[in-house]
Amino acid sequence: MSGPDPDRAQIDARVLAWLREPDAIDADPAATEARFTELALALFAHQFEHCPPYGRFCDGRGRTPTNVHDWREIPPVPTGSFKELDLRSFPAERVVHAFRTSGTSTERRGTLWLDTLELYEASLLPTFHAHVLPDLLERPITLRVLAPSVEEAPDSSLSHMFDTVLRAGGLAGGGFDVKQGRLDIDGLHRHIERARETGDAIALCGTSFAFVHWLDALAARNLRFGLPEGSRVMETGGFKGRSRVLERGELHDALGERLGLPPERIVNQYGMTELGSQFYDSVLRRPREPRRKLAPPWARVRVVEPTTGEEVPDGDVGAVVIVDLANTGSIQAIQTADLGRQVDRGFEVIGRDPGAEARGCSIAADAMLGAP
Amino acid sequence: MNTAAVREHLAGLQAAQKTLHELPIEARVSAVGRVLDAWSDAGSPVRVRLLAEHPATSGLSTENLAAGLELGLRRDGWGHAALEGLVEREAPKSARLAGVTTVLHGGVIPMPTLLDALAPLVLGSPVLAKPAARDLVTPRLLVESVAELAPELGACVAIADVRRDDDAAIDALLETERVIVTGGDDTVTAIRARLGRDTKLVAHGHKLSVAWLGADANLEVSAARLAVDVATWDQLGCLSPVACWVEGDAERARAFATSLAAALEAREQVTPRGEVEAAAAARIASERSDAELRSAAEGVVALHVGSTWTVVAEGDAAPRPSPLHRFVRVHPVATLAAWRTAMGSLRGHVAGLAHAGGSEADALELAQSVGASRATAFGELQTPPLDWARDGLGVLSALLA
Repeated sequence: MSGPDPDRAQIDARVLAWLREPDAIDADPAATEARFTELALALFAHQFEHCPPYGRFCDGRGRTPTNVHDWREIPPVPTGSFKELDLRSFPAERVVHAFRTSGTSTERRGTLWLDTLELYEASLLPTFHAHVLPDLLERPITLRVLAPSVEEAPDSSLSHMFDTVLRAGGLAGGGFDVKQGRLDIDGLHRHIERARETGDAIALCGTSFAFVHWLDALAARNLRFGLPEGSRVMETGGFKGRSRVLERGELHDALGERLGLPPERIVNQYGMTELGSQFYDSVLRRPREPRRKLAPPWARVRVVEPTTGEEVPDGDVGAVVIVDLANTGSIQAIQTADLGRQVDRGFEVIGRDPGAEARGCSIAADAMLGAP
Repeated sequence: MNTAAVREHLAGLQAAQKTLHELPIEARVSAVGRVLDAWSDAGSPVRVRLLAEHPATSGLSTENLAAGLELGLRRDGWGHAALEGLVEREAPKSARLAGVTTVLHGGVIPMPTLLDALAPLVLGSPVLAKPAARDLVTPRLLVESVAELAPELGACVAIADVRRDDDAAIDALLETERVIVTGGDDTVTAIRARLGRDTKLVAHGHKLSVAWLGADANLEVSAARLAVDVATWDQLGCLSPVACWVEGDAERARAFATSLAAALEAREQVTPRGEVEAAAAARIASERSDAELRSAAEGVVALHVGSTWTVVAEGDAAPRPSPLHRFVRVHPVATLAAWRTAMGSLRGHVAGLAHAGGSEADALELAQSVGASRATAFGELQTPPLDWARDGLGVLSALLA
């Protein structure tokens, strides 16, 4: 296997250097605008050349490295396209890992091909620490994960993320509590009881639907836990097909009620398999400010009018587009399937109201398109 | 409307049932027939009001609503005579339903709303109707027209405008003898779980329609006709085709896609598309980008985009997501057998099949193979008669069963 493309190696080195700078996560995005733009444009030129479908796609839109001068002009690819196309900017023989979107065995699943995990891990750690464990150095914290381990789910980016956090150390203890596809409720309760005995804070992190299953079990057993001071919850992802569907606020209310946690100790993570970076609620990091999602300085979020792609004014609803420098091996500009709005130098993701009525009696065909 | 108001309405309707049952079925048919005659007359005051008031809540354009009503709500298929024929086929003279029927309307298309509320009245059951969120107009006008044109039934139909998060009021609504619901699978499942053991449920889930273009069909003519099926109701109806399979090679499918694009642009001039919510607009943009990217990658996908419509000529027969609002995929398929295989994941979710070319027998066989309850020529999908067995359920017989 030949070595990495020299241009790419240089871009990776520069992005990694940024991600590993102490306090990089605290930088004001405005202060790093020029640095971000320079790297994003260099990465665009690289991906334009080394991912031929993407290059032709951009060319078709009249956007090329010679006429794109602002990261906002970089054409984004929809997340759905990762289901059918190999959107890689490196040769197939350099693949070292693949993350896949969740789904059943018959569903078409999106794949993020990786030739290195270094950027992914370098991005996730400071972001997770800043938003979920900002007080890690001040107190011992145990981390329990309501998701499968990497051994059980090697293609899950979420499992890899938690594994990386656990391996990074600094925690009082931790581990995975989904085993062989099932939440080990009794095991989880033992860990919580142990934390209650020692008085150490516990961070419960995992998928939203796993928390719903756990809440249902707690309700069935009529159980409530008063978690130790400093404890917190981080939940992520959707529910559809995995548990009953709750609005995010309902989930947080139920968690707060069962676990004795105030709202500012419950954090939602917004992330997706197709992205190397993640976005978290601001409440643990900036408890006195309104809840919104914050991006690390090496990722930028635009909220655009879906048809024109033009940015909408702050506060207006539009489609969420992300440019993420940690995506050096695939495509950095991603058009998500979510609606959101920019607020207070962060953003909110607006989920569809699970009870909202459709205007028609027709059904969008993806609802039943299991098989490719 | 709160729980107490729902119970008050129900008490009134239960009291009215005695009067309703005293009417022979011929009298009930005659009364409902007068209402249907008015609704199926494009010049009637109720149709004029429907056209004036409906678009503001439904988001459909006035022109599209007018065209949809003209196609779907015709005197010959929806008037008194059509009702008499339906009753003769589906209801014995002695047919009489006990108790009140709750109708939970869904969607913005007036015809199913009209029929779901009137069918129980024909069979002697008073109706409590919860309007769909985006169509408050049709149920209200229906109640008014019953009061005016069929006063003997005036006390037998009422509206319950209950908030969908008011669990107590919804539970009170569901305490009737039977419930008719139109909605997505999640809605139907949630309603079913809340019903008492003795309550009968007639559920109409969300479905879609598809089109088949046979090898001997004319492309230009077929495209113009299919554009009518697609544009009517902005593809929001279960009889709206979301994709067309073209018998032959990819080149023929691409040629049809080009014709269909031109036809949809022409329809836009006559029946403009209505409102598109941000979420739907985002899905359309995403699917357009995806097609663009696959075209760049594979070279076999072609994308046609207008200001309000999208046609994607696909390279294969595999169904793909459809964000609706005039977004159509055109697939090549070599044989009928290959089409049946491709339709595997959609089987059971198909309401209608439009066909061009081939024989009627072929079309019926195609429709049966995907479980469609309606098969028509291109351009006629949106004209279901009063007695169309939506989801295979007879209009009256499903209530009597």
